[in-house]
Amino acid sequence: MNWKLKAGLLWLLAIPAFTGIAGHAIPGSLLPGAGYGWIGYAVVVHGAIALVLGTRAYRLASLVALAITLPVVLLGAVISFAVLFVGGWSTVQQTVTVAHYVHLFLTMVTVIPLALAMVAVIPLHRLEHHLLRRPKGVKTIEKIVLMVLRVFSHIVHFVLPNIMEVIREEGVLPVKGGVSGSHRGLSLTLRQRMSGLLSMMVHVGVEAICASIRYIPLWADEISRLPGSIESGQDKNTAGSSGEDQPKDDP
Amino acid sequence: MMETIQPYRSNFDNYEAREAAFRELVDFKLARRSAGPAQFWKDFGRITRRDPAVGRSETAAYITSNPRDCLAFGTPRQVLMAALMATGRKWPGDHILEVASRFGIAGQLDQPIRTLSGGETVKLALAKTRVSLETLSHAVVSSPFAWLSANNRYLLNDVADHCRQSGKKLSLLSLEGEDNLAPIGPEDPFLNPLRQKVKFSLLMRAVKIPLTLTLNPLVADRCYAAIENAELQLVSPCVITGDNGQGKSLVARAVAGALAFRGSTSVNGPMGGGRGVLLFQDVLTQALLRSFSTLIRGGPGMSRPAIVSTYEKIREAYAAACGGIPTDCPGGINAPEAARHNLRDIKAALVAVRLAKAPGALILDEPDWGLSRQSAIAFVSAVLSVAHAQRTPVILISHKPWWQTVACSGILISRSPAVHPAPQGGLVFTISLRPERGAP
Repeated sequence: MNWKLKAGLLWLLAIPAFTGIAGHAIPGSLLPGAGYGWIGYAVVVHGAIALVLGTRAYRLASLVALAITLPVVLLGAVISFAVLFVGGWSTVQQTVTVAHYVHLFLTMVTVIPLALAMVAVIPLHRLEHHLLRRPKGVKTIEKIVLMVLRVFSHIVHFVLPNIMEVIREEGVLPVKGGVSGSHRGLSLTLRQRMSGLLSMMVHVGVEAICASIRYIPLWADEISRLPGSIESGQDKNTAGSSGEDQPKDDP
Repeated sequence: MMETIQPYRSNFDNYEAREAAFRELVDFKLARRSAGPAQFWKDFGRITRRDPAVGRSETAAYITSNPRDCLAFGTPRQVLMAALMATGRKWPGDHILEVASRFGIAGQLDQPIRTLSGGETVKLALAKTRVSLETLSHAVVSSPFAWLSANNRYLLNDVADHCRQSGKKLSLLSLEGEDNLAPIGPEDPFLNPLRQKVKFSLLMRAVKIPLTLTLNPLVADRCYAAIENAELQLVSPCVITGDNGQGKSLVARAVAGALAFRGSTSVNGPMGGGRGVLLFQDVLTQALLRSFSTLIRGGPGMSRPAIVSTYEKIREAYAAACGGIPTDCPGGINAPEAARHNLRDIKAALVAVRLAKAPGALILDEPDWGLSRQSAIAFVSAVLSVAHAQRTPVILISHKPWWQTVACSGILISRSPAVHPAPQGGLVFTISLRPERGAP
């Protein structure tokens, strides 16, 4: 199955979630907030992701979804029940709140992996490659696409892995497996670890933003050098912008 | 070689002076440390050449001292495709492979730039410069010697020759003595920190490092680097050597726990066993974005006075190695406030933070990067004396033959040329470690 078919399948699957059809397709519910329609839809979505992207990608997408969903749902539920408790407990409100968070959980664990899969199925690196192979040059809109892809790829495949390596080496995060022993004298209390984690998150945030946009001048310059599309008549003189003659010999 | 590049060359005492000269030549293209939204959109708008600020030097090709900073696309193939496309000519389909083969990067054409070694990145930057030079006015190269091993320097020669033949200007900015291949001799500022031997062992057991070799790890084959089992008895200072792309930095990152991997590594020194700590380029790159007070603070649970004390000891040992107040120490050694903005002091601070963790070993990856020969030798000598005083072994990773005469042990790293299917799926290549000098 080529990527276009895979993408088409996943995007078609997204229609029930974004139109709300999924909730009403099958009447009845297993739990308050967990209708048979949504449960069936979730099963189909998860099965399709595993089938289309493979079990490794499916596991990764599911893990990311759980990592986002659990804190949101659990923290939200705790706060809601605390407010209910203070404002006077009622069975009706309790049922409504439970149904809301069950539905939220079900929605998030379905929609997040689907959204990730919809992006992951697109071979972005091939798109970059494809645009650089154009014999007729690159249109302005394509240059913007190249730039956006560059920023995206840089963040995902360069900035974040670099930062992770540095914070691992600095010992802010516990090292999982592999390295025998640990830094002596660095047995941290929970408070110190939390403080270190918060400090690290601030650094990561600032450094990630700085590292993500710092190369924009370089990329813009390199991308602008690509000859403009002949069809659109753009940047016809790009290649020899210094006004020099075209080279005669192979490099 | 020397004759070819000598006419184009300018030497500088320190990193800061060389960077200033480099920025003067190609300023508008370089990465910014910080920028507001207005500047962001202004820079972004250059894609369509609407920015009138693009001026006289727009037709320069350049290579920075950190060569990743001059490559604007995701893989070597894309970098070369864009360079060829920018010349405006039609090239035969196999031309990229031909150029890549000539510069020794044919096997890395589809790897993300981040997974290339420092030397491979310089090779790619040189290949790109060589290809695109025909339509450009001049080329500026900053300190290629830090990453390129001696047997690959002919590639720089090739680009210089091409510049001369095509009448293009070439500016080669370097630090004093950084391409000097002579081992450390009596005239160099090297203290003798070897009064007592610091022995240690390095163990590698079934280490397998997963690598992201393609741009979309979700749909790609897995690839691993497997390190052969080893138990090496070594004496500090130990020098890790090997050609560009053999896996020196990968091994160091595994020993320091900077990478996630399967298996186990450990360094057992006089003070017991543990993990190593590593000072590598990405740490320095990030450190250049941080304030000095943040650097010297260290991590959670660390004692700032202990870090500052170690930092001062390194600076004092550095001054002693230089035979007094070094000329590249602004304001003298007792004026740390004035000196806290140079690369050598940033390195000293980063080393001090790592030594404060009482690690199994301190690993310095290319410790000479950004320093002149004299400064690098004095700096490493200072670090060795402070580390040995606390019985911490030191491992150096360097292309420079400088350290051969002062190293007490060595490891040669090499990787298998072929990539094989792994038994549990994916692809794997093997890295082996061989002791180079006599065991203690």
